[in-house]
Amino acid sequence: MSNPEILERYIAMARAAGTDVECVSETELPVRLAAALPASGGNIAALSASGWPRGLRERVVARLASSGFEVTAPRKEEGGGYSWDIDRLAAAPVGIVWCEHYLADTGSLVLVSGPGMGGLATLLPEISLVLSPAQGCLGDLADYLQKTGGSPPSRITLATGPSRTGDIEATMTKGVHGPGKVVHFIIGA
Amino acid sequence: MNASHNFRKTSAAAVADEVLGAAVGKTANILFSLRGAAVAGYPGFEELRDWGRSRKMEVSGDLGPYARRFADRLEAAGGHAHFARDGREAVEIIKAIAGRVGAASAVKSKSMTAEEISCNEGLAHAGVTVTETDLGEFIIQLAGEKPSHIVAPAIHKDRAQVAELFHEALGSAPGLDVGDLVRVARKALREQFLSADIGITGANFAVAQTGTIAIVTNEGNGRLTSALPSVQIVVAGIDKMIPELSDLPGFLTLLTRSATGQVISSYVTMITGPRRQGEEDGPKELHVVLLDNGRSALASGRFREMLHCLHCGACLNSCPVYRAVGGHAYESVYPGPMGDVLSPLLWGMDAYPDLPDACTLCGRCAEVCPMRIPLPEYHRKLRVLRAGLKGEAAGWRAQAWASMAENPLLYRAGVGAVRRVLSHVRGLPAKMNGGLPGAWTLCRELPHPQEGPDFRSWWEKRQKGPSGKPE
Ligand code: SF4
Repeated sequence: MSNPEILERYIAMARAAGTDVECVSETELPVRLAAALPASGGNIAALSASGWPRGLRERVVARLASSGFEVTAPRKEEGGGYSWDIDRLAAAPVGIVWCEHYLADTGSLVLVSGPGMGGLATLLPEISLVLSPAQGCLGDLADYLQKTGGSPPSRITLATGPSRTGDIEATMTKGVHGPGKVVHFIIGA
Repeated sequence: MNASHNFRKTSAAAVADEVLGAAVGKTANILFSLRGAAVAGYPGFEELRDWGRSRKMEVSGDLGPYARRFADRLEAAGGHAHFARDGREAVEIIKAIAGRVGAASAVKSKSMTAEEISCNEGLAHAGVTVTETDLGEFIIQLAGEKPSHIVAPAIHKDRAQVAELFHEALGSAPGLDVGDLVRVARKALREQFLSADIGITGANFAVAQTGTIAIVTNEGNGRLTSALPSVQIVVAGIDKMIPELSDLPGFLTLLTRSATGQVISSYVTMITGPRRQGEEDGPKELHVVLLDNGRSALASGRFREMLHCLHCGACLNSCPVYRAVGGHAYESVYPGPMGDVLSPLLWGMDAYPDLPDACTLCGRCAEVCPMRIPLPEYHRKLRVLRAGLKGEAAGWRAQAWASMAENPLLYRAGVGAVRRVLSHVRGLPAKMNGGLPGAWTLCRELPHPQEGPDFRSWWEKRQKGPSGKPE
């Protein structure tokens, strides 16, 4: 499949799984991002520290500031390792990360671990905003695993739609432990 | 399990419980239909089942080497592998880890294998409080009950019962609806996640090639359990092995479509070793307890394919017996068709003498099982095995039936006699009241043979036809 085709499939599958997919240009992004920020629940945004394309993170931070949000992010410590301020992270109603790859076949985001990658920002807050490049769409998990060449990172998570449960009378309910709302911005599509 | 389990008794009690029957029937039915739709929507699912079975055949034919390879790769990735011969050994290993790190509390993401070894009770003895974080498991932990389904552990409770339970145990307002109940649980459990010393999870798959553990959840509790606490303990049966990372996509498809009818579950987490240099989340210590508990003995016997089970629960949802009685009547961690077979194999025929009878041999479980495990055949084999163990010959009824069925003349005479008897009941109602007839027609109807000749005479006449030739 060509890229536009798999992208189309991704969008359909992700939406079916409950993800809000927004295709945006780089210039539109700040405004669209601001529109997705929560109106209540506090003004802390959890932001990943690493993986971002040059300059984008700074622009996101600026936009958050002008929307009245403070940023909490994994901080680099003296030994070179990262760590979260867990209290501030737990208080953040929204998390924002960059995600390089996502899978058309299942509508999944591929969230990988790594220093400063900030995986918890996609898990603890009620709202998860994820930004990706249009050319990052892959066909399926097999395509992604091939890229890892048999030596995977410490954690790969396929996140597909919001956190949900059917444990009470098989009634699907969103946001049990993870985010109840996931917005995926695909840039340059 | 000391005293032997009596399914006749426990199932009779379960059938009498109407809330239970309605709740189990409803959810099992929803899951069953979702599976049907998901499988129909995946061209090539049948071929995928064949592929899955053959991959698992490779593993179950070579279980020890696969498990050792997994352990080597896990250690190479910085994790620790522990082999446990039985549940007691596994619990000792877990207690030792908890003791060494001075743990007081643990969060747990649903694991039937941990349930199998009574992990929570063991840790409680060591002074560690374990909180179940899967919503269904959390509900039944509050209620002081056991899971009644391997995928939907609180399937036997309806929303009113959960609302009442949360009201009493957590002080939430009475009569909450499902959405609000989920919020209450989220808040209560979030605090536990943030403070727990240990995270305990199961594993859906263990990849021998890379030492990777895959955990599949919808709620995100598996992810949290393996991200926040500084020590993670994975409890995995040695049957969870799959050969390579590239096998994972196929097995995930088989699992999620069969379990909940989802294309994929919300979160699939693949863990290869503990947190690495510089990373800000993930456990600093990762332990995987590889549990045998009778599994390697299965590998060399005639029930080998039970080791292929993905714990998807599709056989439970499809089973007319399970749907009527729910999971508790089985008095085992593993209920339904897969449990009927596994429980006597893992814990002995003495402990579960009549579970192989909790089956009508209708064959639906074999139809839905993603791994094509011949469950009805296994039930039958277990019955034969049990008869052999007890030194029992077949009962007189079965013997009489067998000699009749082997003799065509006798068989025909017998069928004719039954027809004559039945022709006298033609006037009776299909359902009757009281006594033996009442009991017999409680869940079936009195057969009313049609008027006219029987099939055989009709067929013979038809073969001849009016012209004497077959029509
Ligand atoms: S026996 Fe088959 S259908 Fe039943 S839980 Fe195991 S894999 Fe699923």
